[in-house]
Amino acid sequence: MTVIPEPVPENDEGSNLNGVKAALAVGGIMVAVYLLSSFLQVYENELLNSVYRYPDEFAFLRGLFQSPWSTDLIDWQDVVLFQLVPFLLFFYFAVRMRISALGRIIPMVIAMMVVGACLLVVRDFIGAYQSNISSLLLSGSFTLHNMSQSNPLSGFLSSISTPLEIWFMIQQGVIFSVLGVTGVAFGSFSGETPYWTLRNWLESGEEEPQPDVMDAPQGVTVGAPD
Amino acid sequence: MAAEERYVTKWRGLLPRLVLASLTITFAGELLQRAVTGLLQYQNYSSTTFSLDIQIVVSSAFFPFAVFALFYLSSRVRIDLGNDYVAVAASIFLGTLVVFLLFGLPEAVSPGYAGAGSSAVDSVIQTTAEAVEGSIFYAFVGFAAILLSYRRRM
Repeated sequence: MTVIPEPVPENDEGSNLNGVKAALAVGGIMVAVYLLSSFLQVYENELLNSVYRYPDEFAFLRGLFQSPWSTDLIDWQDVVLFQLVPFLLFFYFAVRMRISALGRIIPMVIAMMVVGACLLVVRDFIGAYQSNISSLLLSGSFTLHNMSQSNPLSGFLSSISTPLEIWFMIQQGVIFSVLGVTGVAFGSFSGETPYWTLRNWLESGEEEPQPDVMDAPQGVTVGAPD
Repeated sequence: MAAEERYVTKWRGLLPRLVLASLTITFAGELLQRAVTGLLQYQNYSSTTFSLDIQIVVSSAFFPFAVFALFYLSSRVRIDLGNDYVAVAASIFLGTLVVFLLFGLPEAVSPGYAGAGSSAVDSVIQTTAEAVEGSIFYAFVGFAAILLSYRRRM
């Protein structure tokens, strides 16, 4: 079966601001992804051991996510959530918004750098409240009662004003921009969304390789009836 | 047609060159990092913060060199990025992954590296994840450098 993807009009490039809009949209989605990552870390590290009290309860899940495998899974989870997800989002938005990697990309790159730096701040902010999030998921209360804890907000504010953190923000901005430019280039060059690209690639792999069109033998006229 | 023929073919010409280039550049970067770290240990600078600062400075100084090297290579090899974008990214990824695994895996399986309670398998899983993460990052950077060269040529 031949799958025909939705047509993308040629020579109908989106406006210059579409790249900026895509960067902001991906940034907004990535905030939710960072929150999801925080929840998953709590789940993998603490929730499974605290919820499943009996060894035979949910044995399969405990076998999958028992410590120390959980901490190893977090590294792979970071690869998927923080690298592949934004890449595929930029890939998708480049096709949908018709962003060209060969057009004017300076505003888009600047927006990506700013969004990347802001995402690092968001990540640090969520990290500062990680204990509270863990308490919320495990006991239903956002505030910590059992331990004396300094104010997370003041710790977060003091940590982001250091020169090293500012350098990390610049670095994260550059990383996010090259990630975004690569995703946009993939979308721009392929002209299809990641779903259709993958589907076409899989189906082309299933099909038998078609032989090249042979040259007509001498003396035979192709298409001409005798 | 004549202009198209000047481009290298996807797998025979492009893949080995870019794999070799990314492998060489990453290998040089890793060696530089280890040399600086070893030099600091030789000079009895045991401060972790200072070592981290030095590593950041070294990687920051190496970063533009790697970008320029790939930029220059792509302008010499004449890559048709519009058709071979997947092969370009995959080549850079593979080259860097080989280097990171080459440096990371022997450490991961060596006795004493794994922390208390974690086996060598856990260390290998963790090291592989870190290698893949670093390789994807290098692939993004290298692809952006080649895209820059391609844009300039267009």
